[in-house]
Amino acid sequence: MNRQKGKGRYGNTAVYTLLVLLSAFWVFPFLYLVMQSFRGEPGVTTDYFFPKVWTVRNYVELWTDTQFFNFRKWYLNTLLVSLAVAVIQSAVVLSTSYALSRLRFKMRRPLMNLILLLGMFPGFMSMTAVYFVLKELALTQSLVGLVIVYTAGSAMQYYISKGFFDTLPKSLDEAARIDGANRHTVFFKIILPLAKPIIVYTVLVAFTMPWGEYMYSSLLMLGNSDKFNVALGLQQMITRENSYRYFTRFCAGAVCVSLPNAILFFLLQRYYVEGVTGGAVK
Amino acid sequence: MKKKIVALMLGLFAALSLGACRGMPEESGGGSGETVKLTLWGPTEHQKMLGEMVETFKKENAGTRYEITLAVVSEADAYKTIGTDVSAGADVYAFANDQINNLYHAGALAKLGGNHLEKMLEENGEGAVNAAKIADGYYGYPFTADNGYFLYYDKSVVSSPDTLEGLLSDLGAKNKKLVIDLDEPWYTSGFFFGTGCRYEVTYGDNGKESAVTCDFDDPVKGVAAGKAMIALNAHDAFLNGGDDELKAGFAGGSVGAAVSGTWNAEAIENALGENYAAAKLPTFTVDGQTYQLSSFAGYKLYGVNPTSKYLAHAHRLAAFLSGEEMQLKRFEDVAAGPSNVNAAKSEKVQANVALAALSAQGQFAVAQTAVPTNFFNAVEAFGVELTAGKVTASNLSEKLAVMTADIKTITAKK
Amino acid sequence: MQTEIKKAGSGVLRGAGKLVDALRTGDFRTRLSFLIMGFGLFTRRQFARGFLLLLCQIAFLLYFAFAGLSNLSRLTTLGSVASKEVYDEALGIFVYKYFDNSLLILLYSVLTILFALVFVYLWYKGVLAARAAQAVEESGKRLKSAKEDLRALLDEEYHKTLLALPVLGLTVFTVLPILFMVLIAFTNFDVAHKPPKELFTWVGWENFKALLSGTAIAGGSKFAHTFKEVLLWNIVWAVSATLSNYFLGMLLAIAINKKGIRFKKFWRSVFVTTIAVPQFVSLMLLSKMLADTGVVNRLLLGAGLLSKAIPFLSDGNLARVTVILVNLWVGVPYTVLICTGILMNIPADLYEAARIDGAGPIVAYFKITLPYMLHITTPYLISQFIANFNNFNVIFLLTGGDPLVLDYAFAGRTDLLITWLYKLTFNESNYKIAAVISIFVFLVVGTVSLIVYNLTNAVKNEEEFG
Repeated sequence: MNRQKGKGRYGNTAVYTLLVLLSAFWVFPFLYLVMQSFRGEPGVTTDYFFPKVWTVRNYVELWTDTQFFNFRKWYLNTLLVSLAVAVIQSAVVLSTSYALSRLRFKMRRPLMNLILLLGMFPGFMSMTAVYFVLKELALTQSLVGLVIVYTAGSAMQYYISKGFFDTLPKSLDEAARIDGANRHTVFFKIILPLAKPIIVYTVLVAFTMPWGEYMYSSLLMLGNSDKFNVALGLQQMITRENSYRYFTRFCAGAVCVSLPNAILFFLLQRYYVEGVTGGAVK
Repeated sequence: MKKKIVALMLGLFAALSLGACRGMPEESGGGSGETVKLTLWGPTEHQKMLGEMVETFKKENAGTRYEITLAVVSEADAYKTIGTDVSAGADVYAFANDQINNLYHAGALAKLGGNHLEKMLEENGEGAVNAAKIADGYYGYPFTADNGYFLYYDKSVVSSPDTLEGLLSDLGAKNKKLVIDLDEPWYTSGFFFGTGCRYEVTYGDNGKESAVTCDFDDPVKGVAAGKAMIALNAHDAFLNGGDDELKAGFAGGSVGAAVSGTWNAEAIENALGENYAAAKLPTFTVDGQTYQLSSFAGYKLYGVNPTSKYLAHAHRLAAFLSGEEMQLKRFEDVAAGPSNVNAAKSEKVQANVALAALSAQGQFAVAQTAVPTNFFNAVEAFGVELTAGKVTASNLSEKLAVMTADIKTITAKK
Repeated sequence: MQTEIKKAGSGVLRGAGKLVDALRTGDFRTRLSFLIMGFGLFTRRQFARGFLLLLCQIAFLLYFAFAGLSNLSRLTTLGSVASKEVYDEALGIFVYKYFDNSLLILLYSVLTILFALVFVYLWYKGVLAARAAQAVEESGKRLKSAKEDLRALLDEEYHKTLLALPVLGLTVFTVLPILFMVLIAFTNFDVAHKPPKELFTWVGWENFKALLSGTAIAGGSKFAHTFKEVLLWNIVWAVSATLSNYFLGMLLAIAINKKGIRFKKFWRSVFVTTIAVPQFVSLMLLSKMLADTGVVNRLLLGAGLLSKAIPFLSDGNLARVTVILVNLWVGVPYTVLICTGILMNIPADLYEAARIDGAGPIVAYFKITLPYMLHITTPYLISQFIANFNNFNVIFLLTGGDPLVLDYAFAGRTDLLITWLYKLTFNESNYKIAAVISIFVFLVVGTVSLIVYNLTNAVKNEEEFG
């Protein structure tokens, strides 16, 4: 809990205990999910804890039995959408937060206040209007429309990135500008390379979002199951009629959705940790 | 200057100005010689069957070229999906009858007329026909009458399913449970209707509620229902749970009886095997008086979208899908209980255990026609408080009064 | 807020003054720019800018003529006839014709007004640019070429380049829907007035009056009581959720970052995996696991640690605690990430200096780490407070706002204003009341946040800290 001077194994033991205990709580639900995905008996809950029959059938059927639930197609759809969102949303968020953090212009403070105000309205109230705007652009029942809906309001998530940019010393910018660089060059050649942790964070958050979003997906796709994303598709598996037979397959699907995102984080962590060291100013 | 902003505004101007001139589709009924394109909504587990039905429809109407697309929208989601934009919805879609109020007001249902109306009125049971009625006419084609509930039980454990007391003692002896979802107002209403309480909604000319009569707080009838529920909740052999618990329980052996509907028939039959049995709901006794547990009777109907470009064809398809032949096929494929009177009389339907129980319970059931949401909200609050132990014999009348007051409030005004 | 209104007001006056000046002192070409946008520019060889402005003018006038006008003209009435049902003998069915759609009229009118505002702004800028170009020409200096304009976009005007797309996206997909929704609060758009079948029309303040007097929704007399209780819980929830996530996240970040702790990567991965699992999966799973008959209770009962199941989600008060704990599970991964990132940015020499001065670890935490973190993350904390205040997902997916109580008007003990709002209105399509309650929610949150945000040191001393 406190930054001790490197010695003090007593303190370390306490920390390890804390970490182990908390990890157990954190991981338990996920382990339970994985266990359910290998369960052979149907049903949502069982009278007992460990499955009586362990099988990989749920995973196999998830990917091969596309008659009712075309998980393959949904997975592909969501992958495409999240790649697009990752790129677009990160670009928007980073541009906005850099502009608000580093650049000075008349509308800066009003814009920040406006974004703050906009965030206070309940999100789902906008759904009707958004639907009709997209209908005019002929983008309902399309993945492009979905990407637009997800990324259009991205500027509103500038807070964290801006906080990060605020910690980078202004002297970096000034040194570069004295050397003749314009603001564009400063952004791309000086600031961004130093911003790896926050870029990784932003991309990660943007990428994982579409995998769990089903409200706008269901609003736009109007039952056109070819265009469903995994979240909406998985929801179909746990309706009253379907849940008995398909719950375990649902769990398998949830694991298949979570794994790539978890692996992504694990891999990107290296960049994340390397981060910024002090003293970058020449 | 502000080139980039300007260029983008241009793009948006252009796109939106092109689009904003569009109007609503005004034609209805298609000409011959062109392809008639229809969209049909149905739940996931019926897609295959619907595909076959559509093929039969096309064969029987070979004179017109049909292109029918199927999409996955469950009956329970019909209103949610079509409500935002009716003109983008399917031409024909299935819905559960408790949504008819909302669907009608959203302008998502075309009124039945002419031959189709006559045929529908003739061929379906009274309850089903009433389920299709709202405001000034009939707005749906009923195709199942099995959205109600009854009692499932394990033959080897339960020998007296007729009375609640007998049921509970049989179960207690073998250390098994009875599962009823007392948190769910759809089930708990059965107690109130059973003791004779009434709930009625009158609709005005504009299709909105004009009056509500409800006596769930009646000092004899309402209190009796409440007492029965409190006693049941406190019983050792009772477990308050829903679909998941009862299916897991039958499979695992901890549950010997449950109140549920036909959607769980397959799962329960698999779990109980030879000991699978179903019957009407039991009677219950309070203060010396015996009452029969009532229930809601529910139906599923096909709705036709009035904004459809091929309205006449859509009606034809809906009428076909809800006709006797297709209802029998539906029973064969997915064990759905027909609303068609002839189909329901067929031997195979009569032999189905779950449907027979449903039918037996049917005489005590109350049709769930166009019930506004605040009814369910109020009864749910009461049920939840009861199962949490917050409703007791001493404050029962008070709680009943609050619930009934809520039920009686009319929300929408002109 | 007041100063901003005053600034805006004087800005408008100054703008008007500039226009009058341009008219008086402008030459023929500048004056013509009042009617033909961009005229003063492309006649002075600034073709790109000039023609772009002209194009805007044409595009807007076209749009207005073909679509904007027809919708605006019906704005005051929101349509006169919605639909007609007629029996067609030949076909044997009822046939429907559709005319005015109130929803689309309102939406497109708002869009048209937005476009008009942008158009007026561009026109204003165009006139001033013409005047400025005239002045440059008269003084003998050279006008900026298109190349120089483009170069400026990468330097002094870089903020415009960076913000153009984001602001456009915001305007069309956030501002427009919100304006639309606010206007709905003044109509009678509900289950009985739903396009395309029916019209809805303006009713002024009627909805607000009905809500406050308790006649707007069922359980009317309980409404005021329910609103108070739900609001209170909403505030408690937002504060607890934000602070608990923040401090636990910071704690974990510091713990993992501590010298001498190994497997840093592993610990971080563990706590962050919850981001990978979609919320609707994890929350649904947790709601089943924490049910009275769920896994957790089953295990505890089976192990003999309990005699009766713990009503995690069915007892009103306990459910509130459970919800905050579950929210920790969902939200801490994010705060751990953020705090780790910021922690690593704290200059090490600060700690060196403190150590040299003889300060112990606890003092270092309170005098260096904590102030630094709070300073950087205050805007984040405020935005988290707002997000948690309206945190629809966690509450809705975990409890649905339940358990319901008869005491409330159709609200449950864990309901936030926003989930209560959703239940009240979307089941009954009572959009007009939904809009009114949204406005109330906005007013409450907005007032508090704006005040705090603009008062905090972080904002005042933003320049100082870099």
